[in-house]
Amino acid sequence: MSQALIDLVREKFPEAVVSSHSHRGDDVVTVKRENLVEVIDFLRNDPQTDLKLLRQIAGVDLLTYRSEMSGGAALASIEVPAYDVQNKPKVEPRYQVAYNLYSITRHHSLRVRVELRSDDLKVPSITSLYRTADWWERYVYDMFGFEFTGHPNLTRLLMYPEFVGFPLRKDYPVRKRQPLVPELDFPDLVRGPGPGPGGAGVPMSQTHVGRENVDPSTYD
Amino acid sequence: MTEPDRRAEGATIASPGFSGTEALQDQDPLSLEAEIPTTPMTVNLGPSHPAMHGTVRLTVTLDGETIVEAIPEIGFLHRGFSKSSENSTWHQVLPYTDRLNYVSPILNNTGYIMGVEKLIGLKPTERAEYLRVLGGEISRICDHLTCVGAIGLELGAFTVFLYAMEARELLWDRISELCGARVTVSWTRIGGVATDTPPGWEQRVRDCLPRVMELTNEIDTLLTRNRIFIDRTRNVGVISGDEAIDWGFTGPCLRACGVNYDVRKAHPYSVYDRMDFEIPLGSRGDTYDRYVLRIEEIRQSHRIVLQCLEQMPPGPIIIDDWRYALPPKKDVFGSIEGVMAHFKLIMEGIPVPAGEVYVYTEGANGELGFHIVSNGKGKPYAIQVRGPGLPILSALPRLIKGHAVADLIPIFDSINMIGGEVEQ
Amino acid sequence: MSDSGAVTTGGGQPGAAKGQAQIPAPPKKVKLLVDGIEVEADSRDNLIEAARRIGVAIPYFCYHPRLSIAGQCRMCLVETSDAPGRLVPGCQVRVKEGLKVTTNSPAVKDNQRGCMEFHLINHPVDCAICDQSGECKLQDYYMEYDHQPSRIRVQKLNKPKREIFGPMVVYDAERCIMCTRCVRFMDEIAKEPQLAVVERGSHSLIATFPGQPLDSKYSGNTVDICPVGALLNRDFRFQSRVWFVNKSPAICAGCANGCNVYAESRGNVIYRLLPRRNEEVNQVWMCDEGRLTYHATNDKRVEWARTGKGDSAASVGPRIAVDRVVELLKPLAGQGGIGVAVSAQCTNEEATAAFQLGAHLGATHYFMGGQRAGDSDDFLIRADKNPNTAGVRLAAEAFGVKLHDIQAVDQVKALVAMRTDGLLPDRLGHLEVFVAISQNEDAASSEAHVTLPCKSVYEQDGSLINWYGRLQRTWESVPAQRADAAPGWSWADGILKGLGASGLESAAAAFRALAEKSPHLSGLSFDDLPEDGIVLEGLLPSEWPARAPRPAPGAHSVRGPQTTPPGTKVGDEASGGSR
Repeated sequence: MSQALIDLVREKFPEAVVSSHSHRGDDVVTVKRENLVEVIDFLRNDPQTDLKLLRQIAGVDLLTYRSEMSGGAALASIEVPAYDVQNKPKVEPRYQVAYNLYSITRHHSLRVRVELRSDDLKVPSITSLYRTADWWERYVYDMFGFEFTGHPNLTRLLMYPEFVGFPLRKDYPVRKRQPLVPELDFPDLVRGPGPGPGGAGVPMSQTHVGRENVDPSTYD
Repeated sequence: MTEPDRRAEGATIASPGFSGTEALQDQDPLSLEAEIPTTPMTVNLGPSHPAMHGTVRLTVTLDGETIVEAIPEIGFLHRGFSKSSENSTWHQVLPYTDRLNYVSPILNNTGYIMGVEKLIGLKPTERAEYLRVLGGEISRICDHLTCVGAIGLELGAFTVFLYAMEARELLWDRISELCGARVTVSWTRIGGVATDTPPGWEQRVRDCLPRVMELTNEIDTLLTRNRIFIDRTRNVGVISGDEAIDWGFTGPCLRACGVNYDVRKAHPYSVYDRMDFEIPLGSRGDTYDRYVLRIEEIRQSHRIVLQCLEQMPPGPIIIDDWRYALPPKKDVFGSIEGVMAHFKLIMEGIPVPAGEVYVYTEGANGELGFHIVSNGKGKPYAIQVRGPGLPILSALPRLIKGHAVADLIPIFDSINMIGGEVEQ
Repeated sequence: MSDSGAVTTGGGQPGAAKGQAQIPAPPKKVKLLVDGIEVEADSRDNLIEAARRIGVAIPYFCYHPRLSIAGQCRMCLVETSDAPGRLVPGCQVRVKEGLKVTTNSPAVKDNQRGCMEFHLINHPVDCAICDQSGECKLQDYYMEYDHQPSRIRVQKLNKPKREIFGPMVVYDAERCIMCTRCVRFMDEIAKEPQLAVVERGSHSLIATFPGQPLDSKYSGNTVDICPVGALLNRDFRFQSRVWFVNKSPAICAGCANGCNVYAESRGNVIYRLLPRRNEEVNQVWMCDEGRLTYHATNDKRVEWARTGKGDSAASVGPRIAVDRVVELLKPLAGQGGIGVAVSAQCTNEEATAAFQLGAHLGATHYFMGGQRAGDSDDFLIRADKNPNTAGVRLAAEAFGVKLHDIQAVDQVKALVAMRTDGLLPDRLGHLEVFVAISQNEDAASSEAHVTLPCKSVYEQDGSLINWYGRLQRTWESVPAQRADAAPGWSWADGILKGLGASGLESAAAAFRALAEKSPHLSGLSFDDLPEDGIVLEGLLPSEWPARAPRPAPGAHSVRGPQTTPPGTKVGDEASGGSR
């Protein structure tokens, strides 16, 4: 469909393109990380391409892509034996970041991909090109842990700040528990009156209204 | 309004304390020209707030009534859609998609299933295509009615809200008759849909639509030329088309800026190419345009629904290929082939060929996209949702900056952020 | 027939009909085309194996790489350039230089679909109650090659169901597709021809001689190789669905042969053991007794760390129990009169930890116990019913201690037992201090003053040395924790730390401690042990049972992993790898 776009990118940036393919109507070009910003800049601003809409930035972790133990069997493999994750050959490059670009005027789209190794998770940020990249990069950072260099505010988007780990990585178990976070203290926070006669922060059950000589440990 | 910063030493942004006494000393406090000392104040809206649809927290810094800065914080409704879908079969993901945009669930189901079908290279049956479009457009009308009703409600027009709810109820009744549930429909299947229309359903739809349009017209009459409404929504939350595209807007919010992009017309999918409908466009990109656009889109969706009812052919609602669709129950219990097919499809999932695809449909709020990666097994390898609300919500600070607090509410209503699809 | 020593009867391996495993000399290469792709195949390959080399899967039911050729199921029929217009069975036809094979032509596909239809004509609608669901070739091939509705409109044939063939095997004749793999296996590999095909036509059945059970010690393997749910394991029947269990590699703890297995478990329960491929230990087979060894991991376990015995036994936490042990042993340390008992069931790491603890305590006597000896044969079963006798002896030699028989415990006043197999309870009454790190509740563990629950061999990472000196790794195959259980070396580590010595933090650390002392293990590291084990040359025996698999001659101090043949699904090795 937009094979022309891939050809254009290959023509303009021959040394930046690692690979390209078309699958089910989607055109994908994989570029080197160093050239990412200039390629996307070109794709955005060149009048032939005019890919002004950044639809999505998606991350993929390919760690278990070839594993036989994943997939199949609706209910198994939630408890994956440690042998499987430890001893299967490491997949490198392990991660991919996919930028999905679209042109509203020309009705064509292109997916630009960058591959990352598991020990080197830096990606240049494209917030200077698209304002919407801000939140998408924060989302991908939150879920995978890629570091988008040059991002003005690379903090977690969906998870709370004390969250440990990166959930969408394949070695993050589905049922993993998080450490308990102590309650944050706001000394200047003004609290309103609580629900019960005991005042703020005292649950109704502790107010002893109408209850006498009751052992508070027997109820909440 | 920029005032010189007169905060007293030690006062933080959260605990306003002003050093107005020093400044006042320079002036006669009884003079009418004396400046009112103010300090910026931070107000927290949400996450549990009736106006914060779907739990969003807005930390708003106010100077008087003017919004200086707003920081949205999301994540309160994040339920791990992507991670859960990696551990479920392709069909088990469907109930998760219901809960994305929970106001128009059939559109989510359709978008996701179309992605899987694109990966397989499968075309559903003709009747199923029409049914999906029919159900989808009814869902779209419900979503727009919800948005319009909420705009009215939060600006004080309770009647508008009740009219919208009545219209919605009529349509939800039709959907629950068709799919078996109001919101948690999980109605589409790979290769078709799950249930066919019950007897008499099409006539009931035809009967209730006039009432729905009548109520929509009532809402239109009440709000569209209403002086108060126009004053509150005209030129409020304005954004230009180019900037909107840069922020990633799609759907009604983008079309309100005058940009003609609707996936149904730009890249027609399913049977939309056989439907005759128009795309309303706004001109100014403000809250008023976003509201009027939705009313007009309800009317266009109504046209599509009538055309679907007219054109829909009889026939099977799901393809007859046992690699993807469950066999009929008499075969499951009666023949070994049926039970084996049923067994493998349920327990191992449908083997979707390996590959990566991005499929996009026109959801109620914009382009709903699914980035689906398969590794050839019966479970998805990775699914990431492109919820149309996320880019629009990220632009919210830009939209409300400089407006009064009171304007925040109609702006936020008009973008129709649905928490489920933003936060997955 | 051929004088080059190449195979004369069927099977993908030379001598397979004779049931011997020999790692062959480098074979002659043959180039042929499969579906237009050039393949360099071994000259002894049949077309199925040749196609498998490039990942092209030809389906089959009756073919098995280690059995003779039957050519019965007709599922593997392909087109070749040698026989135009006809289909030939891929299992029987040898590769030839320049042959062109087509596996995806319309005729082949139609045959595959037709074969499936024929096989399913009389097949009962049993998937819901059949154990083979989830690992059934009929199901897999149906979805892949057939997926059409049934066309028959008559009643299916009724045959005997759930016939008990023997102590381990139950037979369902309706599900049987008469591939005769079981018959050939019993004839050629188990060498006890207890099964045969009786009746004719569609009434054919597999049967034993009337009145004789299928009681061979290898009858469980017929269940593995049966592609459908006709032959089922009576021990596993109806216990769990196969997709609920996780497969993990381990070593069988039944005898000194050290057959490689997969332990299938869910939660903290093991449901089944399946053989894992290791050409030099057990090929893809295991004996029936070995299949039952997992029960010791599930039943009658010591679960909670406890102090006291009999009525005064109290479940205390692991830390308190270890503190009590330290409290009991500290005054006696170095005074003499302390004994350490190990069992031949211990892993190398547990034995090392026990000896290290004994050294720190100044133990005067070391005892080795274990399961009693049993019978053996010329194939896989060894008389020594303990998996690690050689390993414990090697550790004892490394630490310079002499091992006494376990009956002689009356020579000591205090005893620390790393596993209590073989300890007779009537000889323990005189002990002032008896600390037992034990896996199962037996008479001995109820006599202990402190009992610490030990993880079984299937539940911990460790290494074992089999009867001929092969060092093999076993992995933690049960994902969930069972009460307070911990590996034996972990308890010893706690006790050592309590006594003020440095402990052993991990299995790798324990192995390192052993490797430092033993010349046999020099240069080896726990994490880098090859998956299929290493032969320790110094321990190789001179006598070999007639059919026992043996390592190839030549230098083999470090060998790479024997990869499963390309195209075989991991975990599917015993069944012939047809997917």
